[in-house]
Amino acid sequence: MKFTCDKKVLADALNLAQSAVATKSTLAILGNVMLVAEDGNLELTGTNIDLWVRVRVPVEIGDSGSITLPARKMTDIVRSISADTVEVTVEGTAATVKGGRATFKVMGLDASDFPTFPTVEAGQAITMRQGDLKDYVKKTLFASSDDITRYALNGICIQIEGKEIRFVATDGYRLAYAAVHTEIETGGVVDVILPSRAAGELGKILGDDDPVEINIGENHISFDCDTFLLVTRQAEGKFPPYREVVPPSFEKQITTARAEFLESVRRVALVADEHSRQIVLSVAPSEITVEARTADVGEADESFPANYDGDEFKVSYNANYLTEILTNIEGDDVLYELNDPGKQGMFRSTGDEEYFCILMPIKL
Amino acid sequence: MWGSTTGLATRQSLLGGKRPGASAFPGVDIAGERWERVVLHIDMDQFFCAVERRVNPALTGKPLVVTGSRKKRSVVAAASYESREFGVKAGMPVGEAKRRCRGLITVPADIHRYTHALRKVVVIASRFTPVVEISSIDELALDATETCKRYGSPDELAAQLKEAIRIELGLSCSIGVAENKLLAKYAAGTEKPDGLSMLRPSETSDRLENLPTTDMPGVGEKVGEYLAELGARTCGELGRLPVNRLKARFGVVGESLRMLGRGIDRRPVVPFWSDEEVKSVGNSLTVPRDVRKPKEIGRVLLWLSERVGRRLRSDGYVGRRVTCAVRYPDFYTVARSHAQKRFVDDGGDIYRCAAMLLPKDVTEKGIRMLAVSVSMLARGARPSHLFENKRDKLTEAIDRLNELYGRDCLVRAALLPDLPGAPLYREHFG
Repeated sequence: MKFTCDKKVLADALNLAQSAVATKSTLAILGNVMLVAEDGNLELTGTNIDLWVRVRVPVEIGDSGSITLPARKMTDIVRSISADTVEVTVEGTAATVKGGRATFKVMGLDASDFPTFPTVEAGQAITMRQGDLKDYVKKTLFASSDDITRYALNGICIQIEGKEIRFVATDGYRLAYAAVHTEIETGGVVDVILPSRAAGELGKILGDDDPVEINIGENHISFDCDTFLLVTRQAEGKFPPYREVVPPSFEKQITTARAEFLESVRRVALVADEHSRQIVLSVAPSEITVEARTADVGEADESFPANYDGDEFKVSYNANYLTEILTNIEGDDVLYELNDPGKQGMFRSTGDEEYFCILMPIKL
Repeated sequence: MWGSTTGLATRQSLLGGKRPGASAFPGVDIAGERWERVVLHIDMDQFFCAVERRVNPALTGKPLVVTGSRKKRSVVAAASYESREFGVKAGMPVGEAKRRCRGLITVPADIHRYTHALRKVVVIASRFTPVVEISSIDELALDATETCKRYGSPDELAAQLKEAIRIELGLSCSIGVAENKLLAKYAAGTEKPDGLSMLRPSETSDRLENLPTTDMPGVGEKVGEYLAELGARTCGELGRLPVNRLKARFGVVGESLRMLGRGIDRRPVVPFWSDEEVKSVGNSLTVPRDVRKPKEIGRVLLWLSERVGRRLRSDGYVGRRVTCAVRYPDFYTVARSHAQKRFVDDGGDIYRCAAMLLPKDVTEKGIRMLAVSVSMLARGARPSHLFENKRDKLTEAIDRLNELYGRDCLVRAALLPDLPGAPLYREHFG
């Protein structure tokens, strides 16, 4: 196997394929990317068994063939090369990488031992702008759980119903919900969980304006676009009945400037407890005060104006959770709604019906 | 036996406590000798029996045992010296004890009586130094680094303390004086009962050189045998073993074993009044017989997780890291932990996480000890749960019932009947 390729093209391709490569694995070959040179294209595949990324780039092929090479090492090598083109020659399970005046010999493993790329069963297909998908992933993924005993929460639940696509993530303490309306009737009902790892990688590698085709099969989900094909196994388990915990209406409604709210929470949280991150919001007519008090650390408070005309109340939240929510909401003003300080609070941008976050309080 | 959480040594070394590092103690000069610290270990002599005799002096001089409960199949919780001569031991079924020793008097344990007496001992000890740690139901550790000079010397302080306990409470004890908790405990055990033994820093290495490892607190017969296989019959030899060999053989406890051989122990004496933030909450259990069956291992793990959960809740803590430690029958010990965003204080959650951490080969190799702990604690800071409100309420109700009607009035069905071979009396102290 032998090919010559533009250095930047190869470096980018390796970088993409590497995003699926297992970081810690008992199987050495999962730390490698598979390279297949055939019909004028070089195909690179990386996987950790659950997640797969395949990239195809045009190269000048001398001899077709295949090999697997250590992903990290190859990415670093190709990136470090100063010349514009890179020449890769494979003999047996070793590759010689030449670029400029540098020559590397990299030991690899036989491509026949690399796991077989999964076939995604034909299922519900939808197409959207890459930038949009990236945005929905970013706005919901932060609320997902990393609890090893609850797989169903370790990802984003994707639901498709009629013209609506919903992205929901929760770890039981907060919940992020984003809904999208498409022009086209999707014609099916879908309810699957996109694992956090896949969602995280998608967030990093998705572009902006180009389209991505999402295909949801029986066990897998694929994301197909010009630059790459990402396939992930769906997370197992049943996503909790999140609709039941979204109150239909709220008694208390507070509107305030989002940036001011966010900055106050960030500042006051500097003295919040290291693990609990507890802060207290005192909401009074036309003013919110954020306070934190930690033994042996110190205390802080800050007030800012808010639009509210009900009874005074106090509620306590985890500052990190609140900060993440206020960061992800867009717009100048945030609408904060609740029924009872001991129950869920809802945060959204004023007038935004499609994206909201729910946050559970810490018992005072 | 029930390894309980009072075993601070075990907990610290097993579950990622402070690693032994450079000495952080200022030290004190006594009679031209540098002491890192002056630590006293007080071991109350046949404590339960002595307290019972104080209540009923007619029992004095007679073979006496304190039993776990009034029930028929109870076990011996504590045996007087007179009864020990007949081979009666703690943990023995009462029936057998009676067969061995004719005229044996049995008294059911009254835990409140003993804690009350111990409290009085603590009050006396506190006159000699404020740093008094309650190590167990009948042991105290004192740090007298700051105060011993007032009494002239550490052993003079110890002698006066012993006398005060004898005169004021009519109880005798054995005291060990040394540079740290480990050596003090060892010293206390060398002259029992009613002993006073001091191990000067200058004598330590000579004394340890030829001391059988099994004489050291914390090294049982089995471990002693395994150490001998590595060529360490004495503490001196143990201290010279390469740490990597010990780690290869014993896993995570390898390093602390070597420190033990060298008589090094950096654990502070933590006074009972200390409000120092708790860093972790854990329970361990050494099973009476090695357990191999997945179901049994699961039960032990659940039992421990439930205990840890209950303690977390009663102290108002929640934690983000769960650690599970396993000691195999060959004494090799591994500890694995997992930290996550989610706060846990529920036995079921802790159990599920610990079960994931449990090495896969336990069902093949069997276990000798299991430990579960929760760390990265925060006080009362768990946000309410969106989906598990019902369960939280249920847990709260169960806690209240257990509080009201005794610790195990309501337990998970999987834990019924109680773990086989578990001596009931330990329940009080676990």
